[in-house]
Amino acid sequence: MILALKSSKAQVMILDILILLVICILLINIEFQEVNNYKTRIENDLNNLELLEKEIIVEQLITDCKYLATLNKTTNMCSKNKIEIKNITQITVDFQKICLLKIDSKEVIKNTKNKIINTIIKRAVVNNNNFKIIEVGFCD
Amino acid sequence: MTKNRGLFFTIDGLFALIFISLLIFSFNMSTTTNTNNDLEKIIITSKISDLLITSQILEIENLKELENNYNKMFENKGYININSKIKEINTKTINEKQLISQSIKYINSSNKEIYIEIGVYY
Repeated sequence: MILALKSSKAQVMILDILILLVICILLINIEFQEVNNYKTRIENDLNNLELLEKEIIVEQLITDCKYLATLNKTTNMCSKNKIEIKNITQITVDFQKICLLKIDSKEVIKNTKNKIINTIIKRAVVNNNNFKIIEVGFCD
Repeated sequence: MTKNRGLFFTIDGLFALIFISLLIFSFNMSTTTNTNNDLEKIIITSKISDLLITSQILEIENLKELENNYNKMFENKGYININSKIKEINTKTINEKQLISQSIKYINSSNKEIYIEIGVYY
């Protein structure tokens, strides 16, 4: 009788230990998944931030008279989206990541030698009183 | 009863852990999707505003011209509206549920009021 009781106690103990092991393995697995998920999220957020930064740079190019935007002489203000091909050296100095600038099919900046274009951002502008697409390529 | 107490407690713990980890996992996933969605919205909004501003500068009044410009910027389904004349664009494109739209109203050089609205599905 005593022997049978001891054996059933031992069985419960072994089962408990087994379940504990399963919990530990599961916990480690979940933690790994969480860490991986967090890493992916951070990478994704960083990529998004980088893309947002590039969008802001292109916005600045077509809005700021220091770059491509045209100065409205009557209001003495910069006309957004109305551009002239000018200050190209200034653009390449201030934004070294820009390696390609195309206005319609005309290449204004091309510095893609030994470089891979990561992102191309397309915007619509007015140049010489015509609707044109400006494409800005970014390299690392 | 006392014999099985340890076993029941571990199973309870297991369920609690699974539940908590699922909650954390789903929370993390939703945040990532929102960031991507917000960025897409920003990009589409800036392109729509480009089309509206260029239309104002060039005083575009006909749908065909605006449609050509739209197609140069977007492959998405959308619509354009100039003074209540509406045209749907890329209607064959599917899988786009949300809509971003913007409008502009200005007076052109012939003193005519022009209203332009552009909507893009994504």
